[in-house]
Amino acid sequence: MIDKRGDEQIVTDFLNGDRESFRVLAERYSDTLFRVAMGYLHSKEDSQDMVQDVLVKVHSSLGTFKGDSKLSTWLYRIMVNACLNEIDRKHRRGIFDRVEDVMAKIANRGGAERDPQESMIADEVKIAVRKAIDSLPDKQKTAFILQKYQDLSQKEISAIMQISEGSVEQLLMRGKENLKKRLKHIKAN
Amino acid sequence: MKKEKWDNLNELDLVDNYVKSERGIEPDPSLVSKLISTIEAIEHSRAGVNEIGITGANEITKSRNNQIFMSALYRVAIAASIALILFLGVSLGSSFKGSVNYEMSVNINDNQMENLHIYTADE
Repeated sequence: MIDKRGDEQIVTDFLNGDRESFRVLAERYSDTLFRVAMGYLHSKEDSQDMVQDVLVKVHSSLGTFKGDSKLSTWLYRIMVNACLNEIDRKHRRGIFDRVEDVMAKIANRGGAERDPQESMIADEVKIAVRKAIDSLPDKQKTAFILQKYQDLSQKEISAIMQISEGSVEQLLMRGKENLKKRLKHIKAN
Repeated sequence: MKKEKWDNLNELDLVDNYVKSERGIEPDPSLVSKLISTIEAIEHSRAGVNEIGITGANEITKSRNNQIFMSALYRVAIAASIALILFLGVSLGSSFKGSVNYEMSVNINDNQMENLHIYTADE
């Protein structure tokens, strides 16, 4: 059954001791937060873990939500910061974790048979696009992900990133230009 | 998809296609249930620490230490595997011998070539 309570009401109920309200909140936002995480992490498992981590944090700190912004804006902000921190952490990781990642990827390689040529081109293009997105500066990447993965308006993005709408527009434009530049070599090859 | 198809797309189409494919990935339906279980487990462990005091805290510390030990063990195993592969590679490389049998040349009896008597003998 769909819960018709507004976010603020759910938060109030939760803070008043209705533990079940948090499940409603989690069900309402888990998919949304998962898509944002996918934009940054590009892995279903990592994104699910990230959603879990973020919602566990939200559960313990929902009392600090002041209601100055919409709950969704607050959640997006937490998710964006958590993803950026995770990416930083991954960059700082040692060689062992990278070897572990590569081995896990190799282990997960099996599965449906595809045309080898198609598979090779598709994989190359995917890797190149992923690298291009990952190499964007943090602010451009965030604006890009919130727009492309969530279809958020510039106004909503500006509220999440706490910058003006004009700045968001600029970030999106620069992001697109950078992506074009970084993907030109694919066309050349 | 064949290469020509990729050639007909511009860079931003490639990005859009990639985003579309990632947006199509859905989280597991059990994600929220797992989350709620995790939250309950955390709450129980907190309550457990309060109820049973030091013993409970020790159990948690023990389990954390176990995790750290397993993680260290895993790293050591990876390092050992890499070292073993390198060692085997070097050993196999060093032990390689070509198909030329050098002993053959040693066994040829060529002392007749040094017999000067052939050239000094009267005709």
